[in-house]
Amino acid sequence: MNKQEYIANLKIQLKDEKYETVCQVIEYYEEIIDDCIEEGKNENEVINNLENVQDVVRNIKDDDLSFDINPIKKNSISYFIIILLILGFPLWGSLLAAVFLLILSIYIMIWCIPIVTCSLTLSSFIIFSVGIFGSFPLFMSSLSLGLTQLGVAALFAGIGIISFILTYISYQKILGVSIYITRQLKTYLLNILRKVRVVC
Amino acid sequence: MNAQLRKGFLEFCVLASIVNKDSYGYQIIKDINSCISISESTLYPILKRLETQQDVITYSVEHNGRLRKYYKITEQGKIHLEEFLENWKQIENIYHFIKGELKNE
Repeated sequence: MNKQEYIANLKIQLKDEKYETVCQVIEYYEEIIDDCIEEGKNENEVINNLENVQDVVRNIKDDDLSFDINPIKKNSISYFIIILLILGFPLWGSLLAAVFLLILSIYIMIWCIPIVTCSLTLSSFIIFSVGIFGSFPLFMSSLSLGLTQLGVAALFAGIGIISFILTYISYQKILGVSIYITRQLKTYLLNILRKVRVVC
Repeated sequence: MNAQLRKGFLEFCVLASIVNKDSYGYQIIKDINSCISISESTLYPILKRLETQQDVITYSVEHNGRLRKYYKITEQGKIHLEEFLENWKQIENIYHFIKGELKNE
């Protein structure tokens, strides 16, 4: 059994519990499993070392502790707030769209660098190939023209190699930056959604 | 060890493990296991109980792209821990009394 299966199983066993309880238990076990894996343990080994899901749920239910740690007020999102949200959509919706487009433009902007260098690599190698093969017929008609074309082809071969290296370096760096930005955004959004109790 | 007694001791062990430094679930288990064995499912209700009693407070910290929940002992938790140590003399007296009675049997 892997982590996902264990957590899914835990969710099934806790189906009779309150949503907040399920969230808290799942968060707790996900964190424990992630910490064990981070310490270098194998995922399956970690899951095997955990108690089976039925025992976990029994242990939790048998405890005399009330599950309401932070009881959530029912109907906390009142109709008034829902109406306000709908009426305010032109305002917050456009702001949300602006933020979304801003983030998208950041991604596009940073990915322009490897795209430009990659295009330069491709075009340079095309020029190099055409130049090399095209120089032979030119040699027949004029030596100077043939030599010039060969030189230009060699120059573009150099540009192609440099831009290929730049593509490789920038791709790796930008991929790292993109992953970092995405993770930060994900954590930030998850925090917001958890605060409003939309997700676990 | 008696289950209720064990639960009580575990609560104080958890409090002691976070008295000097805020800690998280897995680290607490590792710290306490050197003294008394504790499983993940045993720790969970203890942490929740301590949270309900306001002996600990929690906060989340981002760690490697995920959130890790830290437990921090409150002033009340520290007082409870000190009370436990102060009560230990009484527990020792009970221990000696029971031991003495058993010897005289």
